Amino acid sequence: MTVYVVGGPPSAGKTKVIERALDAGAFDPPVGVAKLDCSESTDLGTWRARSIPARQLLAGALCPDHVLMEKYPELLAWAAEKGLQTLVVETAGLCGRCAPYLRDAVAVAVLDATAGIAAPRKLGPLLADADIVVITRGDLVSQAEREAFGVNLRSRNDRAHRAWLDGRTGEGAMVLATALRTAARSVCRQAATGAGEVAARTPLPQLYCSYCLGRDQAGIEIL
Amino acid sequence: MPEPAILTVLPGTDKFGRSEPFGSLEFEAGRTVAIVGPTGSGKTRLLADLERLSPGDSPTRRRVSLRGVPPAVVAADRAVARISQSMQFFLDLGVREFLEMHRDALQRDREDTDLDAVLGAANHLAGEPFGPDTPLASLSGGQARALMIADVMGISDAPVLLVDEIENAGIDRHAALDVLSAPGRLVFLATHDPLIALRADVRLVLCEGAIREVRETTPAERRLAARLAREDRKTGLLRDALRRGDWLA
Repeated sequence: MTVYVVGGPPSAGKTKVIERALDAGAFDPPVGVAKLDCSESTDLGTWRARSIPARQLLAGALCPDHVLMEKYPELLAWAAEKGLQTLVVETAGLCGRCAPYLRDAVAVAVLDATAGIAAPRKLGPLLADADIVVITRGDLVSQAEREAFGVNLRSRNDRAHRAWLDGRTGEGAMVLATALRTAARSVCRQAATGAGEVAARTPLPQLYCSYCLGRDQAGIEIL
Repeated sequence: MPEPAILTVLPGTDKFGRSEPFGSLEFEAGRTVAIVGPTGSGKTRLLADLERLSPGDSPTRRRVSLRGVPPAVVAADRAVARISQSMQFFLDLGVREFLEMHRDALQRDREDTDLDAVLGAANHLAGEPFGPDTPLASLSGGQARALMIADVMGISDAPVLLVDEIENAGIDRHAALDVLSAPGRLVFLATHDPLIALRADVRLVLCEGAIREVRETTPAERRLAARLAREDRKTGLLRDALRRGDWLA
C-alpha cells in the first residue's frame, strides 16, 4: 500500500488537488481517503459521491497534527482491512511549525499562490519536508508574483518537485500525477530498506503546551 | 538580454487521439507566433503545453523542448513567462515598489535594471497614464495588463513569452506588439484578432485540439495588416474624440 500525506494551509485547495490527481490516474486503486479536521467538514460527501472509502477524524480541542500522529496506526489498519492499494491522508493543515509527514509516505504540500509571495517563508517542515509542492491558483497572479513566490519557495525547499495546478480546470493534473507516481516509487524503495515503523519525518514540537492543557490566561511562560 | 533560444514541438494527438499532421515544429527566438482557432480548438491547451515545456504527459501528448537556454533558468521555472486575462495583482504595493520587489526577488543588478524605462513602457501601452506611486489595486484593467507586459519584458528573463488574447486587454495593440516583438524573445499570442495574427511571422491554426496548419504570413497578408493598422488608428482617433465629447462626423 502507498500512503500519501497531503498538508497545506486551510483552503489552499488540498481536497481539489486530491480529486484532480485521482481523476488523472495518479493512485493505484482501490483508493481510500482519510481526512483530519478540527471541527467539521463536508468533504466526506465528495468522496462518498465517488464511491471512495473515506474516514474522517475530528481533532476537537486537541492539536490536529498531534491527533493524526496518534491515529496513523488506526488509519493504516482501516486501509488494510478495506484492501486499499492507496491511502491518501488529508491533514487539517493548520500549523507552520510542524507537519505530520511520515518517513515511508509521500509528502505533498499544497500552497495557494494568491496567499502572497512571502507565504512559503512562513512555513516550516510542512514545506521543507515535502517531496512534492503543489501550487494552486498560480493562474490568477501576475508573472512577477509567480516568480517571486517561486524564489521564496525554492529558498525553503529546492529538492521537491513543483507542480502548478489550476484546480478549476485541472490544468497541470497530468504532470502532478506523474510526480506523485515517481515520488511513490522512490518512497517505496526507501521503505523497503527501513525498519517498518511508522514515524514522523520531523518530530513534532517537543513541549507540552500549557494552553493545550486548558490554560486560558495570556502571558504564561513555561521556560 | 536572454540567450537565443529554439523551441521544438513534437506532435501529439487531437481530441480524438489522431496524430497531429507535422513532423516537428521549431520556433526561434525573435519570432512572433500567433495561435488561432475557434473556442474549444485547443489554444489554451497548447499554451499550457508550451508553458511547462510538456515532456509528453499532458492530454495532448505533445513534447515541447527548449534549447539555447541555460539549464538553471529552466530548472527555476523561469524559461517561460505568461500573461493571461485571469491574472491580477495580489500584492498591496505601489507600482514602483512592485517593480523593485520583482527586481530584488530575481536578484537583478540594481544599476542595470532601469525601472523608469519599465514604467515608461507600461504608460506607453496603457494610454491612460499612471505614476510610480499608484497602488497596484487602483490600476484599471488595461493599466494592469500594460504593467504586466512591461514588467515581463524589462525584468523577467524568460526567453519565451505566452500572451492570451491581448486584444481584450484594453491596451494599445500596436504598441504592445512593438514591445513584445523584441529581439531574443520568442512570443506566442493566442488571438482572434486579424490585425494581431497578421503581424505575427507565422500562425498556428488549431482545430479539434490539434495544430492543423502552420501558415507563414504572406506578403499579401502583410500588406493587408498594414491597411488594417491604418484603419485601426483612425478608429482610435474617433474613440479619443468620442471620449472628449466631440462630434464624430
